[in-house]
Amino acid sequence: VERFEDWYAAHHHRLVAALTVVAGDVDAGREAVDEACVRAWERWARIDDPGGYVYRTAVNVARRRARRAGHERRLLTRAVPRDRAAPPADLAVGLWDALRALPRREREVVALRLLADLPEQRVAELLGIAQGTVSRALHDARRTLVGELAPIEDEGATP
Amino acid sequence: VTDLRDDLAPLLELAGTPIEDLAARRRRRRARRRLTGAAVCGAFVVLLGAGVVAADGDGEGQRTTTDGGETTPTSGATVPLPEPSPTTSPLDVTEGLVVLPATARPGEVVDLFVPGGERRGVTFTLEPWGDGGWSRATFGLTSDGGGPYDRGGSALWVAGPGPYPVDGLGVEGSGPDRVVVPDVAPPGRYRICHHADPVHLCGELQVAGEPVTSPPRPPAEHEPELLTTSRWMLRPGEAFSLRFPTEIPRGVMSTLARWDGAGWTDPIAQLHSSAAAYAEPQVEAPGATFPSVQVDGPGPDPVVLPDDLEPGWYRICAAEVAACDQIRVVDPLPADSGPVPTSSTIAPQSTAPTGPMVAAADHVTAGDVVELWFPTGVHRGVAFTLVGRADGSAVGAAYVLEVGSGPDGLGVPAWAEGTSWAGRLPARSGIGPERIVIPPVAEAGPYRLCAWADDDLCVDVEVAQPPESPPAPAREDDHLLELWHCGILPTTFLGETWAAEPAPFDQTNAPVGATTGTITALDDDEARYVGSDGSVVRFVRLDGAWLLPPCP
Repeated sequence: VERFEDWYAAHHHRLVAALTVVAGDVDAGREAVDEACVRAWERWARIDDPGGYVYRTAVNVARRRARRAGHERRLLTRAVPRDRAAPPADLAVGLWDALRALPRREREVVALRLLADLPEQRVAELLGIAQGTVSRALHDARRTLVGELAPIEDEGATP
Repeated sequence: VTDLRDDLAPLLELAGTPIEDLAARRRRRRARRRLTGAAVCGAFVVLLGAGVVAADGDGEGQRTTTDGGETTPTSGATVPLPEPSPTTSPLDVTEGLVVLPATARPGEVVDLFVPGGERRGVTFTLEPWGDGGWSRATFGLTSDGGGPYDRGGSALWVAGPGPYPVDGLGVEGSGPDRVVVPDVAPPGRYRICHHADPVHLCGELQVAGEPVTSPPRPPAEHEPELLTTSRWMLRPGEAFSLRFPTEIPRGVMSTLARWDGAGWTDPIAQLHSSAAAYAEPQVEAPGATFPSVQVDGPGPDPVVLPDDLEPGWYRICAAEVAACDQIRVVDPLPADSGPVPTSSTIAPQSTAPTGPMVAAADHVTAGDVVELWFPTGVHRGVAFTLVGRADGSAVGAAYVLEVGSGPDGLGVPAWAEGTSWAGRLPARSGIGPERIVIPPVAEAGPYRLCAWADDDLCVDVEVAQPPESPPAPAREDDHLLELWHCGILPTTFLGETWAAEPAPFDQTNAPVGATTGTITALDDDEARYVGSDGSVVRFVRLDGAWLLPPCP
């Protein structure tokens, strides 16, 4: 049986990357990963599918916190202008903004398919939607992101 | 897709949380949960005695396999140890517990002192030293505990490779917690431990010498528990107390009789309660067996055992009433055992909860049932207030909590918002426990819990929210639309009400197949319905009432 420590060492980078996109924020994503991993660690002997458990739990944690943050934001929106979050790591600013602007489902699909590197069928299982919905969301997201990326690449190509 | 992966690749360089920090978070989380577990400690201890350990009699001197297998009496005989697990315990802890005496014979009783006063349960493990480390538990020991849960754990030990379950954490203070060394334990070096992450308490014990034979035990008393002693394994000269849950009138003298293997002897000693509350002077009529002083209330009545009692089973009976309980007297600690440790920070373990009202746990989870104890039997109502507090001031939500129905507090406790006392004032007394439920809707934070009584009767509790629910089910569902002649009626989905906005068709012009389809939640506020004919309707979550709009 794989030890939790070994599993964590092998997977936590992908988890953090994926949940950062899901949450739209590095700290919130990392927090969701930590919470899900701690829960998985406590139940390690009873979990048959750690990856599924952790991704699903982390996405749920991130959704719940986003919902709470949304309520707070609505309350504060008149008093406090919304910050424009800096992109994490070396991600292009435009790509980060475009990711955050995606509808929630598309963002989750991008995170689990492209960053967690899970097959579409698996993403569909984790999010509780049809595989066709995953394909469609991924297609829509890709079209949006590529559209946002094109000007960035054009700017980069300009002498 | 490959290109996008490359663009997103920098995200994979983000640092995760180091495993050490994750472990610390896990310990904090478990500690929080265990603190709330103290509320159910009593019930768990009963289950432990009834379920994990064979319940055929007292369990003492019984060897029981942990898988519920055959029970074989082994008192007085040495049997080979079960094959120890090759895995040594990862925790090389030998601190926190002081075991007296440090060397004991199989079958002897040892005292476990906890100078740090850590919260703990009544289950310990006995782990032999071998192959350069501590083996997994070979015996599970049950202590006689303390506080309101001291009657738990009828069996004293079980054999078999651990780990053994850790019960709730209902005991605190410096001890001693008393355990019996299994009479089949081979001589050697052992450690006794209480493993409750993050608190691991261990102390070393040397087992040597011939096994001690347990004294014959009398049959259990089958009468209602009119009298209970604060602990049931005692050493000569030790102080303990008597409690009277039904508050029967009684004298201040109690009698002590010994079990001789066939029956109870005549009283061999009288114990005089020193309860300060009994101000009435004692009147001893010449030749009278018992003084005529009558007292009542739930106790506790403090008493002290004589110094010269032989080991064995005794029966203590309250004066002038048929209320008895059994205790086991064990050998005094050897004179060379060393000083008895005491706590510098926490008062020695009391034999009963202190203060007029004691909550079984000061960290509780919303929705939990919590037990409240009243050691002095104070008169009170059947309702309590739970008020949010901050910096000593009452703020935030307030609730009225009603105890479970029935004279014994059993039944389903209830709660309501607000602080109205109307209709909730009938007086009640006795030591309890009263069972109340923390409102599931109570938000996490500090609260003050108060009883209705003449005196200020409050305890502070920390309320936590229960662990978050498991992953939500799919947010997609087959759906049937209901129409009216100017649009689409609101629909229910995921327990919420959603309104079509705008309605692309109505009862007069809906396409065929438009009213059967699938609805999907896009986020918390928006859902999309796709009819079997391909028509799409946007729904928004409805906050508040929906009024029939005028037809355009």
